[in-house]
Amino acid sequence: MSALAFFEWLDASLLGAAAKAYGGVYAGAQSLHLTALALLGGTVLVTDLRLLNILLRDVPSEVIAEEAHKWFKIALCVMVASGVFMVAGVAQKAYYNEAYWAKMAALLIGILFVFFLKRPLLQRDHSTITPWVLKAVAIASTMVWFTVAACGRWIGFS
Amino acid sequence: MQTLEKVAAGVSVAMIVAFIVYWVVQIGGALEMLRIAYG
Repeated sequence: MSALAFFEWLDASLLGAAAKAYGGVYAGAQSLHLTALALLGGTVLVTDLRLLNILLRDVPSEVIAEEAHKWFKIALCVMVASGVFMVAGVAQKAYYNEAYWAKMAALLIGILFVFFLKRPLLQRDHSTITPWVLKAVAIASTMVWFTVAACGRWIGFS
Repeated sequence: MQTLEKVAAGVSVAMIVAFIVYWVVQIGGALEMLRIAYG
């Protein structure tokens, strides 16, 4: 099945029909999606700004990274679930939208980066990690999630 | 520096460069369109 065929199927699916038929539910899903994005952004920012020694310098960065990651996972699950519902309502439009694919690419990079590099690295004692590496990881992390959020908003304007 | 740290450093630097290039190109495109539209 090609990507276009999948998006056409999604558009015609029960989920797609529900998303198009019930405006209030769609608005609710959008609100949930943005709330989860705010939570996800908060967890990313609090962790990354701590790694950059800007925020909460009196709290160990290991503690912040550990606590924030729990909420990051919850926010990501809510974002993906509400996002699938939202895209089902505009599936064919999304397929031809450049910003949508930019967001998906950034999201994939962000997820792989968090679960295969950032998280395994931050589970170690941070004092044993080279300081500039921690800072580079924090800046890269902030930039990828900024791109996810910005491209997400861009979908509505393109 | 351990392997994971080296990989994290390399990937992070590559991502920072890639995202800077991406946003510079996007902002450049927007400025170009504004210049064409409004002079």
